[in-house]
Amino acid sequence: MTAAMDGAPGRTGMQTLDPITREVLYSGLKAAVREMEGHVERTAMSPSFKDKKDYFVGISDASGRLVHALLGLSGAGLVAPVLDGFPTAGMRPGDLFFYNDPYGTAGAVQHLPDAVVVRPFFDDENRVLGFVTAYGHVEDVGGSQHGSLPADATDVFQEGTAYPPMRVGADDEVFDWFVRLLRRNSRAPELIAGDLGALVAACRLASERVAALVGRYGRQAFLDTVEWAIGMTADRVRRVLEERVPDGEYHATDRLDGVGPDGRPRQVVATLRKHGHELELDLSGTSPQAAGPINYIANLSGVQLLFARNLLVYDPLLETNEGILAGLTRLTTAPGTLVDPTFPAPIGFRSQTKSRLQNVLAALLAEATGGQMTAPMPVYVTCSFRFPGIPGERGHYSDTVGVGMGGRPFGDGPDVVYGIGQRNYPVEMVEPGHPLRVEEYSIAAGTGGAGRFRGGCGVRRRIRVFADCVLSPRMGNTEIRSVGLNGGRPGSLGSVTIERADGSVEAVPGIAAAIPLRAGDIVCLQTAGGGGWGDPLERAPQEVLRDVREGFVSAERAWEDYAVRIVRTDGGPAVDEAATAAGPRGARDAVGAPDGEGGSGGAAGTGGADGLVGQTKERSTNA
Amino acid sequence: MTTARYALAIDVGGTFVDVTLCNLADGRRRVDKVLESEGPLEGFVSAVRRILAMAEVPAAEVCRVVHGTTLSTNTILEQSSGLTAVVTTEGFQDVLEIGRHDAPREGDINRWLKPRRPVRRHQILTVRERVSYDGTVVTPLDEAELDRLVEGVRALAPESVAIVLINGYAAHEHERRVRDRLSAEFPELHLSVSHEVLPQIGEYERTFATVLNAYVQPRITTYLSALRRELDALGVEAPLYVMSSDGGILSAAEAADFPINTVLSGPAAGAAGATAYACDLGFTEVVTLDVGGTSSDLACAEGGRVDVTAHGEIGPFPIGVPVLAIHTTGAGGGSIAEHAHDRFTVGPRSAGAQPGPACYGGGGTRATVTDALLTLGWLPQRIAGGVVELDAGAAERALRDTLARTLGGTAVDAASGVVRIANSHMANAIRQVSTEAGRDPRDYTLVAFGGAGGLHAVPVAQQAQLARVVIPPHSGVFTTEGLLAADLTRFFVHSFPSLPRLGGIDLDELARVFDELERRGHKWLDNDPLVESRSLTRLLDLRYLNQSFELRVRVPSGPLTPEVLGQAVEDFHTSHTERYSYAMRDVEVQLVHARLAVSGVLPHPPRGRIAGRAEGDAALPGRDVHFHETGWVPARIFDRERLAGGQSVAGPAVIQDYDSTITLPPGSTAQVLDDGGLLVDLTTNAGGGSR
Repeated sequence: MTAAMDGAPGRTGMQTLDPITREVLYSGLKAAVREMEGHVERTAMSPSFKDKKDYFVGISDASGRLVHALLGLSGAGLVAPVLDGFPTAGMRPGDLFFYNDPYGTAGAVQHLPDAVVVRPFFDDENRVLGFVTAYGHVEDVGGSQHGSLPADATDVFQEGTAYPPMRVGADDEVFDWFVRLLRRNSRAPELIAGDLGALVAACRLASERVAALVGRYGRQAFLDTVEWAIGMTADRVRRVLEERVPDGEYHATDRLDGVGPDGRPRQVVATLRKHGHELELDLSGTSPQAAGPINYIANLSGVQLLFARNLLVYDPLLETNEGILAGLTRLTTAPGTLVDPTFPAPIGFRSQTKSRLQNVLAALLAEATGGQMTAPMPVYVTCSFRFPGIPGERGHYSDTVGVGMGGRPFGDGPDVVYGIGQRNYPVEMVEPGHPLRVEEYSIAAGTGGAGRFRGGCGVRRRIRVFADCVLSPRMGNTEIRSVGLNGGRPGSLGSVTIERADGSVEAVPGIAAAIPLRAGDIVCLQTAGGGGWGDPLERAPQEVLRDVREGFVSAERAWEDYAVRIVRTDGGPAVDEAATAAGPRGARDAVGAPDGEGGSGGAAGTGGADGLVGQTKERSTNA
Repeated sequence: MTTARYALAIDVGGTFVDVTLCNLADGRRRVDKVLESEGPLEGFVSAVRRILAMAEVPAAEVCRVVHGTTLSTNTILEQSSGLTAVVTTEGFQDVLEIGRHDAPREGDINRWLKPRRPVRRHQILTVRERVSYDGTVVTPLDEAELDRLVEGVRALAPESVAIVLINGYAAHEHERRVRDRLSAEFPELHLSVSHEVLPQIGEYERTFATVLNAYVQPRITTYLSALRRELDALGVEAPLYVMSSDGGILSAAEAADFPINTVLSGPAAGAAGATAYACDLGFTEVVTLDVGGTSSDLACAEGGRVDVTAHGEIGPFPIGVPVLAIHTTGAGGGSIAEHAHDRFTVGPRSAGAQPGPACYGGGGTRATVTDALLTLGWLPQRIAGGVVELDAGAAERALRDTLARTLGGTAVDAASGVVRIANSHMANAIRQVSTEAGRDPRDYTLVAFGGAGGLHAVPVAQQAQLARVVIPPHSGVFTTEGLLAADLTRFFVHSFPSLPRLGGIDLDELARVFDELERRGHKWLDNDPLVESRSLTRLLDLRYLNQSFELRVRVPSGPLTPEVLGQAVEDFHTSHTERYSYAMRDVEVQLVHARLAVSGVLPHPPRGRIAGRAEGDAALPGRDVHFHETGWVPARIFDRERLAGGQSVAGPAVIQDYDSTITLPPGSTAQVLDDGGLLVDLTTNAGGGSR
């Protein structure tokens, strides 16, 4: 399959609106999206919404182009499936559309628990002016197991009920037949109904906000603002690519755990071809699709969004609208592969492959820019416990576990982060809600890949069960380490271990379906570390010392990975300057090590590192 | 103590000490503003000495001293405290470091760096123990563990220790034992215990609150003891109170024990004082706006009560304890305007105090909001009581060189754009606190203060569609009014870890819980000699089954009957509908906390305020002022001190006070109140809204 954009996002109809009014209007649209976000968070019911923040909200124009959205890993191209089936001419104010069908929408959503609500908004002559969209990961939409993500699925029908794009409401009320249908096909009818209510209310709210802005400034001002915002962002994206990525061809490959049906390693194979403003990502060399649910329906807008997230490392002021998608202009995939599976291949764990795609995008950009890209992160981890004997929500728990992030060209990778902006379940809240107790929740020291900027560490979470249950872990990077960039080393592997009540210990695969546990058993999840960035020998000895003192790196690894000799003294660990100078650092020291600044974090409140990329690039070139 | 009839309010901010001395019998005030150059303690003392001398009031006539301070905030943001250690349950050493394992949603995960914690990993000690949420001891805490802990603490030699055990919010015994042992071994050590600081479920937020409390405790304790000594030396024997982040005040002793409650001391005083002022005028639905140098603070009050949140933050860290919901937007007087890559932006970068706006003559060359206001004629040439002379030429140059040249207009066009964008940031922030909570802005009154609040108030209120604007007297030192208006307040909280459904709750048990909270509340108020009357309000934090955010409803005191609970559920549905536009009557309602709001009312001045008024004609020579809608128009200029009560002032006009300036765009009219306050009704005005 090859998909391409119909030319660049619009540059027509510009310059009719003054630069002040469009800023004011655009900031009003952004405020509406922010308001929607808070609304969803506070009213949603499924744990993955409310605690993990697995949801997305945004505003699009009448042709479905993103005008502004909450930045995420998904969410581009959500309106197109509705426009395909429903001409705008037939839409009325208060209409509500819904879908969750990945194959039916060519990958606009990527697995069935992601439920999308789309609501059009209108100008005063009842012409569709745009759409508000909201989706979230709901608790259950049917299929073979609670949660609609069975690890042993062999086709998409086992992963739940697919709802193709449908008009499911009018006058801002969801039709009763649809609520009944949705509830009837879910193991968590209250949650899914509550979530639908939250999404619909948020869409209505944002529609009202946009209508008020259009009422105040007029239809044309809205249209001009949209064109300007998208065009301005697209220009910035092209400028970044022009400055950073020379024309040419770049290659990257990243492996998933396990082997494919052909007996060969599973991998995402990517070629990036740049010629002027044309930028093609060719994934056609990727491994054949899997029998299990790790397939990922990659479509152009989805991959454009993943690519755009990397560009934010170069220009943090890029706005999240259709313009940020302008970087990648063409996507080529081969049917029957992991990234272009053939219906009805299962797709529930698509993040396994999607995260490899993120990795190859980072690696491609690193190759093109002399290493100036944040090292990728391991795939985030979930782990589900089902207690057959216990009814209701108490009998089902899905834990989410963070991983170490990759090192940045300007600082250490953060430890223990889950995907994007999704939160953990507090230990104290797990215990009253389920027959479980978290007995350890600690940073897995030493798991971050070595580098001038260290990869983040993974985490260790040990959970004891108090009733017989079945465990379904979903953890990647148990066989393939998450890579470092620009000389940084890969992070450590993750593992899933069961400590049986009888004292025996067994390792289980990262992705497995329904492992039986007995009351008293402990599951130990240790997640992978992120890869480092840059040569570990360039890390300042004082920063290595700090990591040893604080327990992020052992004294042994300080020597083996960083060539810094740490000794114990009465005042705590200290650098043995002489022994360090006699080691590999001394051998290369004629060149001069970088100064001790610029490690991780800095003072509290350091939220970013504007402008540091270029600066670091210079430094590392000199070093 | 019959002669003691003055309340003294002192707000120590970053640059100035604002002070108000109020005669509680007749409401007369003396205000003063002192440059704080030698540290907060010296600033405080010299301000007290100066105002008592100015007003010729003997120190013995002061009956209470109320203080707003930024000391705990600054200590946290600058990470300038000594060493703090943490004691926690074995296996959970990294709760602080892991956080909620989320990166901020706004911004990019590939750029984010984890903020460094105020307590580092090797300063966290563990003990082997575990208590379940229902109080069952899973792993006993034995003496050998405590011995080991004592040695660990001795080796670290911290100034303070935070004690946070898993489930400590529900089962206090192990935390108590750790505290008792450490305090026996190290009598000088400051100890903060999680079930006292924030007795709520959720280990990360409770840990952070306890750690921050411990972190600032040594400095705050030293500071408050020094203040007490200095007050005694001046002959002021009145009790000292500190403004709390929730809009109430705490005794100095309590502030020293729980300094985490003072992190928003100054902003909370402003929001609470502005709300109290509006309530005196009969307006109970209020948005407060404090425009400062680098940012603006906003808060919203409904029914005269400022919103309280459990999700407040200080820098990148959660506060956890309830605080007034104060929103900060990155648009203030020093916010820098830029035009680059087809974007016209104002803030969040600020010229700060150094170099400051270009017109301050401190070497700044970037155009700021203040430069724009001066260029448009909204600001006079001299501000701060005539002390600071502004350089109009420098302002215009900055606007021309950094903005107008690339925009293709004049410096004035650029200035007008800067002000419109700054106003729109503030209006969007108002929507965030009003409409986001399901409120109709047309019911709300904007109370603006701070030196620049009055410059933006009317156009911002018009854009946000608020009903009216109020500018209180002395709006430049207004925070002290919040200190004067505050009463002793505190929440007493009981958690329900099992999250019972309200329908099935044991009424007798709930009654016992409230009885116990009330007993503690009364005991707390018994300690204070100044309390004139008390109010204890029962609240339930409720949510729909499976939601994560609670709404708070009141329940009447008296017997808890099924009817009372039924009404609480009904009120919850109504509240949910108001906030979120829908209710789910077929879904069960869960109880998260029982909460008692305790307040001890202190003596306050009578309503209807009297300000010291100056004689003479208020009208000053007019000048031309530029508005986006009209371009340059001749405007009348007034000296605020000389405006008479009952007078009205029609825009276009500028009203100048010694420490603040108010702009009235064409079409708006201000009524001068008897106390010198200004009221601009926007429901009857023609509009002329500034976009």
